[in-house]
Amino acid sequence: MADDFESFVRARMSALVRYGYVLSGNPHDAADLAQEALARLGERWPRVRATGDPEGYVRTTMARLHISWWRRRRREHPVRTVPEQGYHDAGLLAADGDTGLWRAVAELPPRQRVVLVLRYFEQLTDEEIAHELGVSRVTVRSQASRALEKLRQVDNFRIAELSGR
Amino acid sequence: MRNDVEGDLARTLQAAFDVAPPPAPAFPEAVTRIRRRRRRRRSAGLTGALGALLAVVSFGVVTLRPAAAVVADFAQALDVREVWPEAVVSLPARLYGNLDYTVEAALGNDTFLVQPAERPPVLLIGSTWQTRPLDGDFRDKALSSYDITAHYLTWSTSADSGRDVFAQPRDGDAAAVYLGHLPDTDVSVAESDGVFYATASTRHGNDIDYHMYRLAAGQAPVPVSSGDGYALVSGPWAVYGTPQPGAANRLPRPWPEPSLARVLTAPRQAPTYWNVVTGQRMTPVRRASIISCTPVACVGHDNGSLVSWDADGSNEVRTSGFTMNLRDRADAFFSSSGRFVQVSTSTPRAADSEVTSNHLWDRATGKVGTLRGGMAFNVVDLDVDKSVLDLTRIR
Repeated sequence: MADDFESFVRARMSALVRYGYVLSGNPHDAADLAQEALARLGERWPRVRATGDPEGYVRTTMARLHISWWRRRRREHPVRTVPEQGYHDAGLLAADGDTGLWRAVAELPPRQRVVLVLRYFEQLTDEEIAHELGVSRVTVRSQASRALEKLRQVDNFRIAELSGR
Repeated sequence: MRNDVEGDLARTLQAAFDVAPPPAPAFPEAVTRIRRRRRRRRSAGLTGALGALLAVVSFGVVTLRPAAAVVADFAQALDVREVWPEAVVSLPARLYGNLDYTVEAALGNDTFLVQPAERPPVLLIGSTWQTRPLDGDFRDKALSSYDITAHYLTWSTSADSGRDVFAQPRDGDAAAVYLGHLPDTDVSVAESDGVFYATASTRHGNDIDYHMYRLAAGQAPVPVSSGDGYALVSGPWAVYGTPQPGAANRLPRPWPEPSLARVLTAPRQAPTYWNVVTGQRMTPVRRASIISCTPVACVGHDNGSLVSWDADGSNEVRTSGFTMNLRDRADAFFSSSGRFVQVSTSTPRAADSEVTSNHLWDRATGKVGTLRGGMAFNVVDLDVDKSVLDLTRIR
C-alpha cells in the first residue's frame, strides 16, 4: 500500500477515474468525481489511512457525490441531454460490452445507476449497498428492480450489431 | 426483452471500466493543489495565530479589538465584497504561459503567494499583476508542503526516502537556504528567530510516528527527542497525539467537525498546546461549547449565539442572528492575527456535504459578511473569477 497520500493518488488515480466513468458515463464527470473524492480523502488521510481501506473510502465518496451532484445539476438543468452515441462505443463493443445497454444505463436516474454499479460491478450485497449509500435495504432492492426492468426492455445491441441487423 | 440482463450488465460495466479514458497527466497535481488549498484554509488560523501570539510575546501589547466589544449581527450580513470593498482585489485569470493558479496567501504590501499549475509557487503583485519567482531551489521535484511563518516561507520537496526542507525570507529578496533532509513525510515547519523546527511523520502499517527536528542552514537536522509524538499545528505550538491501540506512537487526535447538536450536548475541551520554542504549555479556557480553538482564540456556541474569546478567557464577544440546523456540522478558521474568523456550517454527511452557511466575522469591529469561497492565509477566495479578499488591507 502506498506510503503517503501523493503516492496513493498516483498509484490509484487511473482505476479511480475509470470507476468514475462507470458511475457517471462520461470522462469529464469521471475526472471531477475522482478529483473531488481524492481531495476529501486528503483532508482526512491519516484517519482514513489508519482504517486500511482508503480506496474504499474514495469509491464510496464518488458514488455519493455522483448522486448529490446530479441532484444539484437537475435543479439547474431540468432537461438532461444524453448524446446519441458515446465516443467510446467502439471500444466498449470490442471489450465485450453492450452499447445499447450502456446508453440505457446512462439514462437511468443516478441513484438507480449507482445501485447497479455497486451491485454488478463492485459485487456488493444489498445490505452493503444500503450501508454505503445510507438508505434502507428495501430502497436498494426497489431501485435495482426498477432499473433492471427498464434495462430488460433495451434491445440487445451487441447481438444486433454483431449480426449486422 | 433480454434474458440475462444482469449478466449483460456486469459484462458491460466491466467493459466500460476497461475502455474508460485515462486521467489527464496533470491529475495528481490538481488533486494536490485542491488538498493543499483546503489544508491551508484549515491551518490558516492555526499557523498564523502564531503571529498575534508572537507579537504579544515580543512587544508586550497587541489590541485585537476595542475594549468595548461590538456585537456582530449575522442576520443582517451582506456579501463580504460590500462589507470590505477596500480589500477586494481582482487578480489575473491566468498567469504567464496561460497557467491556471491558486492564491495561497496574502503576504501584505499587495503581494500574494500563488501556486501555478505544475510550477513552483511565485509572488504576484496585486496592482500590477507582475510575478516574481522565488529564489528557491525547487530542484524540479514535486513540492510536497509549505508553511508561512512570521518571516519565512518554508517548503519541502520529495526526495529519496523523505523530504528536503528549504526556507526563504517572505519578501523573497534573500536567497533560499537548504535546511536539510528528513527521513519522513508530511512535513510542518515553524520558525523563531531564525531557528526552525519541523515535525514529520513516518508510517508503519496503520501506525503513524511523529518526530520533531531542529533545523538550521548548513547543519544536519537534530532530532528533538522530547518532541516525539507531537505534531506542530500552529506555529511553534504542537499537540500530543492520542494513543492508538497497539501503536507504539500516536496519531494526533483528529479534530472532527462536530454537528452543532454534538457541540451542545457533548462540549469538547481544547487540547493542551506545547510551545516547542519556549517550552510553555497552555490549554485554552472554555467559555462556551467549543467549535474550534487555536492557541490564540476560540469560537463556540452558547444559548443561540456564536461566541468568541481569547485563549485566556478574556475578550468574550457574543453575536446575534446566527441560526443553523442543529443537525449540521459547524467549523471555524482563524486568520493569522486571530482577528478574523470564518464560520461555516454544512450538512452532516462528510461524503456529500453541502455548505449551508458561510460567514466572515471581524472580531475587532463586529462586522460580518457572507461569502462563498474559503479562507487561506490572510486571504479569502471569493469564488468569483479570480477576485480575493486581502485581509491585510482591512484596518
